[in-house]
Amino acid sequence: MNALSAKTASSPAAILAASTDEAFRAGIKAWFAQELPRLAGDRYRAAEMQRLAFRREWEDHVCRSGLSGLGWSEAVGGRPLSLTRQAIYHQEYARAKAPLAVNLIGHGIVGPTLIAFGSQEQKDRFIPKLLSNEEIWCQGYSEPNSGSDLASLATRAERRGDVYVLNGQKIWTSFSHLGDWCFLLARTSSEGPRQRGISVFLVDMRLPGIRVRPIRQITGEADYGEVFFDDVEVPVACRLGEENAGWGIAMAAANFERGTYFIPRIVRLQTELEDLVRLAATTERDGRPVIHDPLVRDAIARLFCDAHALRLHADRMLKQAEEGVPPGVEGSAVKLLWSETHQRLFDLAMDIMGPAFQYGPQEKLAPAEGLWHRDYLWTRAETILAGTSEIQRNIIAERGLELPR
Amino acid sequence: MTQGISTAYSDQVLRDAAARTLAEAAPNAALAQGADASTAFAENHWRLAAEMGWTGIMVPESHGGLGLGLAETADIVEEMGAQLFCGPYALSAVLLPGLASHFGAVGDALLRELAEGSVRLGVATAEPKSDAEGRVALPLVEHAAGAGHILHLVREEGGVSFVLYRTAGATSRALQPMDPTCPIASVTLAPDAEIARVRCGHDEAERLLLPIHILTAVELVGIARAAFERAVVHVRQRKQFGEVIGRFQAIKHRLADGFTLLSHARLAVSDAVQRPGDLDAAQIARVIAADAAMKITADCIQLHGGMGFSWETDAHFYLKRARRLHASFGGTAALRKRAGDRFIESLLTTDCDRLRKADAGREEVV
Ligand SMILES: Cc1cc2nc3c(=O)[nH]c(=O)nc-3n(C[C@H](O)[C@H](O)[C@H](O)COP(=O)(O)OP(=O)(O)OC[C@H]3O[C@@H](n4cnc5c(N)ncnc54)[C@H](O)[C@@H]3O)c2cc1C
Repeated sequence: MNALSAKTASSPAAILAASTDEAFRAGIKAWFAQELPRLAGDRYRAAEMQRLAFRREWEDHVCRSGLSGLGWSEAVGGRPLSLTRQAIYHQEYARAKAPLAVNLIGHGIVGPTLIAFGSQEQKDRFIPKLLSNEEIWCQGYSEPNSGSDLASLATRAERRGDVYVLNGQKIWTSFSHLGDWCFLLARTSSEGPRQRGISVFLVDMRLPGIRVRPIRQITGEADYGEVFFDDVEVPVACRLGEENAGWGIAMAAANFERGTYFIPRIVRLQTELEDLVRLAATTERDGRPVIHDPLVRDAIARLFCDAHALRLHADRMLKQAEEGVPPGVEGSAVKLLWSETHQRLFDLAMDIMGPAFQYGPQEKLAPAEGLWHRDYLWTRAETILAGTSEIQRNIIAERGLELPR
Repeated sequence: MTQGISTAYSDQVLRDAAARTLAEAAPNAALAQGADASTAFAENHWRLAAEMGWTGIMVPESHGGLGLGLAETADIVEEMGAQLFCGPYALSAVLLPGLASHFGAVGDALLRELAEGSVRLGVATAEPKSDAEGRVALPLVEHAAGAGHILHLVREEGGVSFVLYRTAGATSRALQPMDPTCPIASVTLAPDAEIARVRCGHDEAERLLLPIHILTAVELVGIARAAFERAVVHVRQRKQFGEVIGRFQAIKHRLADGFTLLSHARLAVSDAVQRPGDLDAAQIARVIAADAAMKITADCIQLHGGMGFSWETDAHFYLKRARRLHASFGGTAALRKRAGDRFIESLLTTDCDRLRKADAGREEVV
């Protein structure tokens, strides 16, 4: 091959319109392979590309090139795409080592929820700015005294004329310092069952009375924070759905996570496992590549088997979603397997590294510039967020096996 | 309970019929009373399998069989696991048809007899010894009771030999088995016992053994399912501290883990059944199913408390049967090692290729 035959990738619009899934895969793969290095320039290294600034820059580029709103209807300006192609998209995204999204909540949860429950006015206001990635969203559910027991949340929203007055505090809010808007749950009634007194609000994070304090995480980064609301006046037009109907909306929103959160992560785990093998092949201990250590090989083989099961689960989730089958308690089983397998994978990476594990995640001397270290620490969050492992087990036992509460 | 509903691999009618028939013949109560499978069940169960046409399920129609595939067989085998069927079913009905073509005329005859239900295959699982008179002594044969033939896999440099003996003229001594649903014996063969022998390379051997790995996985899922159901039923009715013990979170979480393992195993196993030629799918399914069954059958005993430890409660049969299958045909650990080695080697080989290309000055490596 010579320079003349060097291909340029097709336009995103042409790729989305590909006549076959294979052509779609080839197209999107070529697009990532072309655009990622082009945008990154001399930052085209895995560690460099995981920095927040680049993540945002890349996400903006992807969205503005016409690859946002995948699977959303044309009526809202989205780009209809079969679930199979969405899965292919995520696969190729992971294989290209493209950085994780910043506006995950916006694209993964807020968008689909607005489409399902929003008024026309709300859709017109918010969806275009999601598609262009101009507005970043955060999710205000957890509070200092309400975590696993979310229905106990106490942040109050009191109706006064055409505004709700918001008072209270959220915590562990991811990207609260970057968020332009917050998808927030607040209490609008304290009568009857707790779940029936909750409403959803779309809150402009720049309103007077809102204060954000980033909280440092075990990785050293401060990507989540606490948010204080002090007599914040939220227009009634920013209530999503009916008053006191928020719990049902929140539950529906959680279902959207199945496709947008887990499937990309399951796919990513496969490429991480491949990288782990490469790490073991290029790390030496006692003069031999670590990959020859039978204990390391056994641990890899176990991860390989679990990754296989996860892949089958992802295929099945996708198929069920396409057939409109509601997710059952198996979703909890998948979350358990994924988060725990992921933790073992990075634990093993630390073992493989030998003394180099001691570098902190921001230390340049660390292998892969500390990416393994950072993700090793990050995996500890995965058995906590989106429903802790204990809560997932409760769900399986009580809803799946019908054991008494 | 959702756990009790088993989705068929092929045909729900076949599956339900197998479940019903096998449940009626289940040995649990009798074994729990101390019955011996080799005398009480080996014959009955085999006769039942023959009457149902199951022994000839994979035998071609030209040889009097049903000529069906692995998926149909899997439906029967999962129920055999769940209902503790006592007999070398998968071994005879599945492995033998695969080997028969290598055994020439002997194989042809065996297939016909298998379809009639008159062939039953024991399997030698320990190294043979030769006695003073030059006769072959097999120290440990599974399913020896009533077996007319014994298969022995000899792992050798560069390949595997499948050796088939007939038991006519042999002397057999029944031994106490770990797994009461599988009679074992030591067998000293007659001098002319070897009737067929086929040697093949590792790849071919691996291919011949694929169906048995898949069905071992299927059977393990059946065992795990039965033990799991038993445990769930128990914790919903047993009361302590004034509460049904299923209300205690430690118990809920143990069962939630069992559910999770079982759901992975089911998926992996049905995937392997649907793609019967795929080495990874088959071997990984067996690994995942064995891990699930080992954990769930042990938990089943734990959740029954003192009664779980008693012979009279049938919980231990599941553990013991799972333990046996876990170790069969080279064992779970060896399969996991092979699958892992293949993954590692394939990855590092493609990497080498890619690096070579990159050296040639083009492709960029992240
Ligand atoms: C990195 C990260 C990002 C996050 N991002 C967001 C975000 O963007 N928005 C947001 O709203 N929240 C976010 N969260 C918060 C997350 O949803 C909560 O941490 C989680 O729901 C657990 O609540 P908690 O922290 O109050 O822990 P608790 O509920 O106090 O739990 C403490 C421990 O008790 C256990 N426990 C609690 N109840 C039970 C029970 N019934 N049975 C058995 N064990 C139980 C838990 O499993 C856990 O081990 C984030 C968390 C992390 C770690």
